[in-house]
Amino acid sequence: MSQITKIRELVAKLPLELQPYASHYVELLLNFQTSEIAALLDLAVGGDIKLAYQMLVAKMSTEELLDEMDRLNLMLIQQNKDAKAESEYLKNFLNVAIVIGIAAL
Amino acid sequence: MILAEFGWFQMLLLNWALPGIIGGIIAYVPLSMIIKSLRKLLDTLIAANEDGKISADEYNKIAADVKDLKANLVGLLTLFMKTRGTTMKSILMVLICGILLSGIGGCLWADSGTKLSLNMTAAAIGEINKRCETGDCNACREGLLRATKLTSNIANLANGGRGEVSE
Repeated sequence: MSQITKIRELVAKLPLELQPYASHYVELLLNFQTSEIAALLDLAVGGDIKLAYQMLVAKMSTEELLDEMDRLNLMLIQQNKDAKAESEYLKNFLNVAIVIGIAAL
Repeated sequence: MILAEFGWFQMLLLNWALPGIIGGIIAYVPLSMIIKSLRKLLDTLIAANEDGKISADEYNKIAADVKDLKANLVGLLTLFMKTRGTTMKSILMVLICGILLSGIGGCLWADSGTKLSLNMTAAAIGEINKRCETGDCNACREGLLRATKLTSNIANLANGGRGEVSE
């Protein structure tokens, strides 16, 4: 069994919400020692995502790190757009609630 | 999302027609029943009095019924006004809580995905900072440019996601 298959198997054992993130870094994990992968997965499963991710970015080349920052920025832009949509929904909901409140007076 | 996509007709229905119908059912039906009964009794009383064919006992009985009905009407109106006040206070409290909660901002609303990306961004910027300190000029220059955009987008997200983005 190749190392990448083993890593994919380990990634499959992560919580579902972390799997898309972890799958993205499978290639990068090839640069890790087995003990480092185990430590990283322990951190991720234990909920210390920041520390686990710090281990990952520390292994990235400068180009990879810059690409990663671009990817993070795209992710934040999308989350900002989603948050704006949620904010608009909440605003509309409050408007309706206020009008119903006034109508009930 | 459903409310956001409502057209004017649905908004009109939701804002005015629905509260109107509910208010009508709660207030109008029992009130109108009492008023009709009262009116009927008064008509009977007036007619009987005009004919002069009513006995003192009958007159007193109808008068007592009218008095009771009046008391019921006043009681119902008082109850309605009290309930209305409580309902109004409840609605206002819910609205105030909603406005306060929404005003606190995005940090409290942040889901696990948002927290995850914030942690990841902080770690990436921390790594760029480390490389700056070790004298990696390319990483430092390019990384700082990206870090500025990331910081701007994090600030927007932390302020409740106003949708302003730094591309």
